[in-house]
Amino acid sequence: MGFTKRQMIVTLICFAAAVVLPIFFRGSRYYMNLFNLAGIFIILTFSLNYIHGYLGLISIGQAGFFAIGAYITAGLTMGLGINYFPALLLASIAAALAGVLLGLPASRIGGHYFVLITLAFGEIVRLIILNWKEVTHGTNGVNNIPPPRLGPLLIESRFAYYYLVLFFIIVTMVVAASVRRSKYGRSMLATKVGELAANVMGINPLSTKLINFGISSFFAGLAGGLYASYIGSISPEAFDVDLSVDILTMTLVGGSGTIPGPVIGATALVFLKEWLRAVKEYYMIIYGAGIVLIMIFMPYGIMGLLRRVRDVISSREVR
Amino acid sequence: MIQEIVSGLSIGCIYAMTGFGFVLIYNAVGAVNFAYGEIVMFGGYFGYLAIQSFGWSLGLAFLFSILAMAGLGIFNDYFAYFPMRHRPVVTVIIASIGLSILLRNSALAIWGPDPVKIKSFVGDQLVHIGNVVFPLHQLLIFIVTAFIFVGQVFFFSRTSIGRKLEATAQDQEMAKLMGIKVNRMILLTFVLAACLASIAGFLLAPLWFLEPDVGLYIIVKAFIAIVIGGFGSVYGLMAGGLFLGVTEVLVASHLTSEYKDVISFLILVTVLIVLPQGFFGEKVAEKV
Repeated sequence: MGFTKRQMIVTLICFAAAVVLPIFFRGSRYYMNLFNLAGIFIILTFSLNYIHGYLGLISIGQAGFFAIGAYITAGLTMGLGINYFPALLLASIAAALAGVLLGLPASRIGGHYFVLITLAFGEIVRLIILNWKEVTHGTNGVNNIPPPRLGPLLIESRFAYYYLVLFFIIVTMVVAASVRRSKYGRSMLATKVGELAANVMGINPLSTKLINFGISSFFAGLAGGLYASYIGSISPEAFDVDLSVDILTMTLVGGSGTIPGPVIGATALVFLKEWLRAVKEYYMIIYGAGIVLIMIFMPYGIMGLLRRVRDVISSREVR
Repeated sequence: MIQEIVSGLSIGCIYAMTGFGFVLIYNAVGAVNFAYGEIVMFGGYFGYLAIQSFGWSLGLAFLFSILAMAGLGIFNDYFAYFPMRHRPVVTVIIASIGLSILLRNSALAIWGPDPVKIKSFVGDQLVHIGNVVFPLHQLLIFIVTAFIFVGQVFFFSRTSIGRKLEATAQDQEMAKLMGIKVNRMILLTFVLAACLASIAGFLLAPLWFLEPDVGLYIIVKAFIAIVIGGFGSVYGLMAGGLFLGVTEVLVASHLTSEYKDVISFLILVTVLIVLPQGFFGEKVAEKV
């Protein structure tokens, strides 16, 4: 299964649009901020897309990996003076290791037990960050995290940061697409549909799941590292369960298990949450109700809706 | 030390009671309900509303809370379960997460972030037994919990409606064939669980304060109690709740109060790894 010509063209147009887009908004710090946040959330949503889209499991602990990536990146650059990019890579690897480590027990259980163990993981990470004051400064957080430096180039402005994030989004998407097409991706989908059947076909569920968790948490950590240096200061309340629920919502709204899904879902929700801010305390109420309504009316997200529209149109053409 | 154990047991009873309502819904619909913590919290808040805003007495407030909670149970069913009853379980679980966000932030919008308290039915009296002193409210918690747990055995095995509920929980298709109106039974389960949450909320509110985040806290603790005891076992749930309550109090006062919740979560993870079916549960690890 290769790319069709149409998919290629659409992908190229989207990337071209993404490259040109900030030029029109260069003067608006507000919109550039939203774009950058959306970009970071896109990477974060891809991380859950592996677990939910490819394995069919629900994780509400992604914030834990995000926090690990953010704090380790901050620690390595500020404490040890390591350059940003190697630090980012090391932090992502650390998050990936945490994912594999959590995966060892978690891969043996499914359903609601998996939800609970990931919830517990996310909370453990947050509580350790909150209470281990000597290292993480507790509620005060880590402040004045330096911006990334690439040789003589200091990536400080929101405009420059946009292209850094865009670069990592492309990396994330290329990896996601190649995993999906690889032997491992097919093994994951087989495990999702029927674990026993997959097992009988010679797929090792343990290694399949561990690879999945490893890649997933790697990208969550990467997003965390990008977030830390972009915002410049991190504190434990940014990494609570609400964040993990946000990521889950973004995955579902976009359409889980697809490549465009996380991009659509994360972007849509970052903007939606921003616009709903106008109604202050009611916005989280609307947000909660929205999750339920999405589950009722479009359980396969925007991508599922588009696919259904396309099917209707193409079935008309045949007639 | 004994005082600590008594207060741990009383908190454990509330965990167990929350867990019980949660398991009722779980058994009926086969999906975990993440909103149940917020539902318990609303049980308390409705009482606070009646006392504070309507100026009613505690008893009247309790009746109001039960009625209002029955309504909330119906809402829970029709909004976050019924439309998705033929969809994969995952859908219902996520809808319950949505409902929990909705309820938590409604509480925040209505009652604000400041903690509030309701009085206990037995006031602030203290009980002296030997040289152990503890609030009478904790004794009330023990009595109510014992009453509920004994009552449910009678209800589910002796009464017609209880048996119908039990049959629905065991096998919906079969129950339907036996002429039981399954959808109505599930609705009834939601209402029952919500009324139970009202009792739990009234017992909880004098012990801790009510605040919008308390629901999340209590549901997580109920989960841990359920996992320790094993999904599906009521006795296990009771034991799990009491064990967790006592462990928490002892850890907080003798080991570390900052990492008390970390230790609770580590207990959860350990039990999931070592004994996924819990200490008392049937083997249900494959059940999604």
